Amino acid sequence: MLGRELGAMKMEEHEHKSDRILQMIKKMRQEKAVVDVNVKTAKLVVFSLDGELFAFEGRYVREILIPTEITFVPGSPDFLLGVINVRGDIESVAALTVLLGMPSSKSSAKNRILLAEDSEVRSGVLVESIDDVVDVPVDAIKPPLATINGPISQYLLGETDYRGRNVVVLDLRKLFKRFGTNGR
Amino acid sequence: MVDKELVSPSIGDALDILVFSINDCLYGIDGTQVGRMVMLYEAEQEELPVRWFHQSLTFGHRDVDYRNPRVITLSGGDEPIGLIIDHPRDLVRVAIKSICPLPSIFAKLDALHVFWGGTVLDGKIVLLVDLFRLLR
Repeated sequence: MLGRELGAMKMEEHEHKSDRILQMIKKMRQEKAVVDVNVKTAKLVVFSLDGELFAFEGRYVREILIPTEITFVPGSPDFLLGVINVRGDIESVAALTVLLGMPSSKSSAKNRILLAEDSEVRSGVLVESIDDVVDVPVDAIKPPLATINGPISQYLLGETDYRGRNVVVLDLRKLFKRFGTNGR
Repeated sequence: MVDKELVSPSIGDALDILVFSINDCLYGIDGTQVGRMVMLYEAEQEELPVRWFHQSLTFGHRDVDYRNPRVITLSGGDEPIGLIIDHPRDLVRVAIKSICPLPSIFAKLDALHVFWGGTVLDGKIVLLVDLFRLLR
């Protein structure tokens, strides 16, 4: 008799175990959702230049374009590669490597143009490849290292981590401000 | 794009532009700004002072190759001066509404003030040059 009761209790335990697990999962998800709501995140467009990872804040990036023919504009500063036709509109394309004092981008099928915009300027920016578009907690963007120097140091917003690699987050507004000074 | 209401009636709905190319890039000049077009030797015979297009606007380290040069003058210009362009086509009629403003960066860079707009012909961008500003 006792054995039967114990057996029934075990069965009941088994039956309710899955319910309990489900409840636990739901609770965990709810807690995660609450955590997600409380954590401010920033969308980052992560891209590569010369083997290094960089990112722009996603709020400034309007489109990611596959490069088409870039028309050279005489009289333009070195950082301005030219203009492209985007569905009947003409957009400028800047060479980020020139502004950052880096070697020229390698031409490949992975090249992309980030069409970015702030309150004053809209322009395409040529990058070697797009690695990802990610949401990261704002807290995860740390102040840039003070040891970074060279032209790039003028445009730093911060640094963060992406799959174990360091990502330099660039301040697009500062880059665009330089456009009015011939990139110098 | 140009708002139709902003277009003065005298401008009309279309513009005749002189299209030419330098190093396979296309440029256009409002036909009403062009006084006349002569051969290079004719300009030399007239002792007309001339400027090469690539010297008026820097081409950086690019080599510029003129295959079919012509000299154009500014319509009604006080000072006789010619601009050497290459490979001019006939005047091309372009609808005003198909002319795009140039990207905002052009307004920020003094050297690019000679360009005032752009249009697309056969899939290629044509940069519109203000001849008056270029030769002034």
